[in-house]
Amino acid sequence: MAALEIDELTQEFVAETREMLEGVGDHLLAWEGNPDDRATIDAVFRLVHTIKGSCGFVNQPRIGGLAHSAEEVLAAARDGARTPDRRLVSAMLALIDRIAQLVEGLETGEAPDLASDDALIAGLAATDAAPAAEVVPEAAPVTAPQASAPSTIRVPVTLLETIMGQVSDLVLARNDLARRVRDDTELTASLTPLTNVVGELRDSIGRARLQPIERLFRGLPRLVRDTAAVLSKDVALVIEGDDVEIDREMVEALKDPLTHIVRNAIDHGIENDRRKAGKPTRATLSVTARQSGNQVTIAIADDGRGIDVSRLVDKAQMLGIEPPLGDAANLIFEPGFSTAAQVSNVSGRGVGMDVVRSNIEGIGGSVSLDNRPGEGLSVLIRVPLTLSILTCLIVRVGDQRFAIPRAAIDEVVAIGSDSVRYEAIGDSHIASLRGNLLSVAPLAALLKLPERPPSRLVIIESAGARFALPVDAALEHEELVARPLAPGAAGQLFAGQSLSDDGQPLLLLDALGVAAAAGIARGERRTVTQDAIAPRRPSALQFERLDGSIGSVRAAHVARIEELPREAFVTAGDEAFATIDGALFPARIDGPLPESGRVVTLRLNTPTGPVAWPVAAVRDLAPIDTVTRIDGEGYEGLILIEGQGVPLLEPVMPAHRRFAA
Amino acid sequence: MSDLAVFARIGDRRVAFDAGSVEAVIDLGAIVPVPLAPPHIRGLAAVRSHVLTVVDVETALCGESTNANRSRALVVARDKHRYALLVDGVDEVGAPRNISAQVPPGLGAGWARAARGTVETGDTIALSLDIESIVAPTD
Repeated sequence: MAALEIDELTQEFVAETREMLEGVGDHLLAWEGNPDDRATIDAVFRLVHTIKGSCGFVNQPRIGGLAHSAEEVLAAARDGARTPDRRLVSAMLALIDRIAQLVEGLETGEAPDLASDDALIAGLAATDAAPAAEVVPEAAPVTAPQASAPSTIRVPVTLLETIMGQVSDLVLARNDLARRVRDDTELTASLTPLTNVVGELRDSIGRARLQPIERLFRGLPRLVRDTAAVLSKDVALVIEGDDVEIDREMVEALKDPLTHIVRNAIDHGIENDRRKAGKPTRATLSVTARQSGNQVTIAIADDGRGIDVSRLVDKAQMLGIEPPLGDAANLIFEPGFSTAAQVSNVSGRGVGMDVVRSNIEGIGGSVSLDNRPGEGLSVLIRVPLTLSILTCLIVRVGDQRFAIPRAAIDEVVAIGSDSVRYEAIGDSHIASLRGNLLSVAPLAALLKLPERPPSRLVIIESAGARFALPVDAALEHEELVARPLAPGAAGQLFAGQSLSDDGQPLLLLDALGVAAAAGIARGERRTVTQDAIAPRRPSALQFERLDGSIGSVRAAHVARIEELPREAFVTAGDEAFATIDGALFPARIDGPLPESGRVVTLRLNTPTGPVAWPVAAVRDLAPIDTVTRIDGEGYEGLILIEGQGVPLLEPVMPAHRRFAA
Repeated sequence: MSDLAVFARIGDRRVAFDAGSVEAVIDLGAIVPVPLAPPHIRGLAAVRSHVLTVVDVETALCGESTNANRSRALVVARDKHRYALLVDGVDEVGAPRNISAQVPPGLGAGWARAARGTVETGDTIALSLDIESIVAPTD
């Protein structure tokens, strides 16, 4: 029994000391930046003193000795006998690290293999003897985190998990009961207070799992200082919003991604010679947390050089990676991508932004960039407040309901409203929203469910990919407790399963998996096939031709839009051909083809058979209201698109208009 | 293997499962299919606020099912996941006699893979089945 008590005491000691050590480092750095701040040194002194005191209880003389040495130096500093300089702070940090190693050893039960502490303790004294005139680079000022002593108790996370599960069960039991007594108004009325209490209970338990994001940010001042020191850069860290609360599991899950992004910013973002760039020598790195609804956004912004997009694109071509939709800066999220010319010992060690992205998406979040070349880069991480509860949109596809995590959804639009077009193009579909073309992932076809005319498009935006999911209906939002699918049932398209409020199982769609299955994320072709659904209004596909002019064809004539490699086009005599999927198609080439790369190609159904028509770019779908006839071979007429007259071309192969490929 | 076995029927075949692994015998309500899942995974079912993955034992072992409307199931847990194993009926829970580790020849590949031997109860012989091979068929 006695042995057990000591064990528990030691466990308590380990947990408490670890928490205190996290605070000490930041306080020390704050003290270094502002040596006159009495409050900071008092806080450090208190923490070290407490550690020393606890060592007596649990019989840890070695840790006690270290804490004692630190305390002595701090006492001298408090009395004004010592001023903190970089060397003193470094020596103190090294000592704190040693204590952390020893504490770690206590927990694992393995004594760490460490050198004697004498050198460390001597390090503190050596600073004493060091000449005061020594030039020490000034450290970046940091804001001291507020020392807090809230009245709290420790609760094992597993217990919180259990309570959470029980509350979920309670919600379901209540829902079941409510369904059964639906017709009895009196019983239903007396259920209302229960409903309210259950809802509040769920919120409270959710809050019990929250903690200030400050715990995630705690290590940042040290990380920034050490990284900047290694790279001989001068970086000021500004932390904002560290009182924002977030699920404790999120804190753990975000630690590695955040560390990686911060290191990247200092290593790759911040210039070596900032004067040349006309910037102040001291760079600013700001880490900001904001909460909105049940989402938390963390922005990591530097004022460095930003991402050189043209270099990225060059590198992508070298690696044969297709640029993602939207901003090409998103290429940094591709596996194996790093723009660092040299691998440094700080970042660029193979763990890339692709891992950061997949880690963040794994916890239901998203990451995006705001790149300002020459001025800086902001990395935005958006995560749900908690890991266990996901806000999802419930949609219906082919008589079955599915949940889509809200974090992946940009918006939901009704097909048939003014700014939305959803048209059959041959055997596939294309969507456009406010004039921008979107790829379509044919959800019903991918899931092998009955295909019906969809009523809504769910616009997914995730990891730089943006595409439309047609759904039969968008039903409601639900807060779901997500759990993984059994291994045998799991597939690329699902992120997990859950119980909906009505007690029925629900499958959670994995937006990125759906995109990959539809060939959108990294597929060869951007468009996908789906059985034709008759368009309601005739429309025209507007595009830029190879010769730079604008043209259009009736969408009904377009079988596919695809991207072909330049090499797919060949000429033989006066004829041009395109090789598509191992078959030759006559090609209509009416302008100079690009030298290399990929060529957007329309595959037309013409009276004489299919024709490949390479174009410079596809613009938009537009309704055809009236066609003004004009004279000219190959022209059906002129149509009006947003007030502009645009030639509507016949889907034919003009006999005299071939250019050399 | 605990001392008791759950004796069940699949078609006219008798099978036995280790009773220690079976949490409950239930009748399933609605089953929500999982698109693109292998055919032996019938879908998901909710039982007392838990989601079970519904596995048709016959399909898992033979590749096809002689009864598409099974609703009686044994609830088992494997690696933090719970499964409902569909059978045609559950006869009894009892102490098996004449436990043999010999798998009779000519069972067919699927059955042979999951069979762990035979046990007797009353006057019938049942094939003793391994749950692991049913919830995660290797092919």
